[in-house]
Amino acid sequence: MNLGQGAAIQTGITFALQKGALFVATFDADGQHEPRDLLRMYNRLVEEGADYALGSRFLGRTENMPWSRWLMLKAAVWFTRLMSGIWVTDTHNGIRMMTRRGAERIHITLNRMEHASEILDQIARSGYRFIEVPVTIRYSVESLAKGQKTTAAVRLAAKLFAERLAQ
Amino acid sequence: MTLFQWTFGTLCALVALRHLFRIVRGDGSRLAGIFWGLLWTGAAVTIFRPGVTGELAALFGIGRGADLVMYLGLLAGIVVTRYFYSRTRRLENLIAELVRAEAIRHSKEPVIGS
Repeated sequence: MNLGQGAAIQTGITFALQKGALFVATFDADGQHEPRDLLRMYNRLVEEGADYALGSRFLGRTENMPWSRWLMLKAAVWFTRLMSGIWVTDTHNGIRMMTRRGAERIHITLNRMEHASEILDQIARSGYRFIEVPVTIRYSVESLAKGQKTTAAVRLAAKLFAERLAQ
Repeated sequence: MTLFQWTFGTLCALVALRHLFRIVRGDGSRLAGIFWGLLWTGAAVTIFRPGVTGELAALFGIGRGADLVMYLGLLAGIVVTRYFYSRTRRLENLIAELVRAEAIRHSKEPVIGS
């Protein structure tokens, strides 16, 4: 049963924690991420003693990003800053790494793409340290087809807003 | 009295009576029976005596009875929407928990390098 990306990520986190993982990484499966970035994220996490390493394409590099996607992501950054009060440069980047302690504080309840904002909310509430790590994102026809559409982003923002009102 | 008052007023009064009988018979939730009974009685009274809403509105400092009804309706709409939203989200989370538990139960150990 496919409940959505958010539900799948939480299942992965829960599974990894049950198996005794010390670090947990999330990673989109559409080929847009650079696997070597994970190693740099791990090193930074250990060196700086943080609990969350969040990938940022705006600190790093992007290839073939359409301007509409750039605009949508920038709007998402400001929306998240306003709603969550967390100051990050890239809010919907699927590449992240966290310590076991950090992963234990993540409980995704929003099953679909809204989970990216929910994770940031929970990171902000946890009070644990997070760092942003420059990463590379490569947009291809496949990744753009699977990624967020602009209309879906508007629905996502509306759902997050409704969720905030219902809390 | 107008035809509307006779038709809908009587209908509301009958529904209110039905809830009253259900409370007396002990059918269903007593609290729900009282709530719906009062609501339908209120609707019947408002239809038979439209001036009542105006008098009530004046008590709250609102100009017209229709405005009071609209405000109350709006408030009820917000409360009901929030209630159903919360219920749907709870249900959604329960389903996700169930599916997650099943997925993990049937999972296989990852084989490195395969």
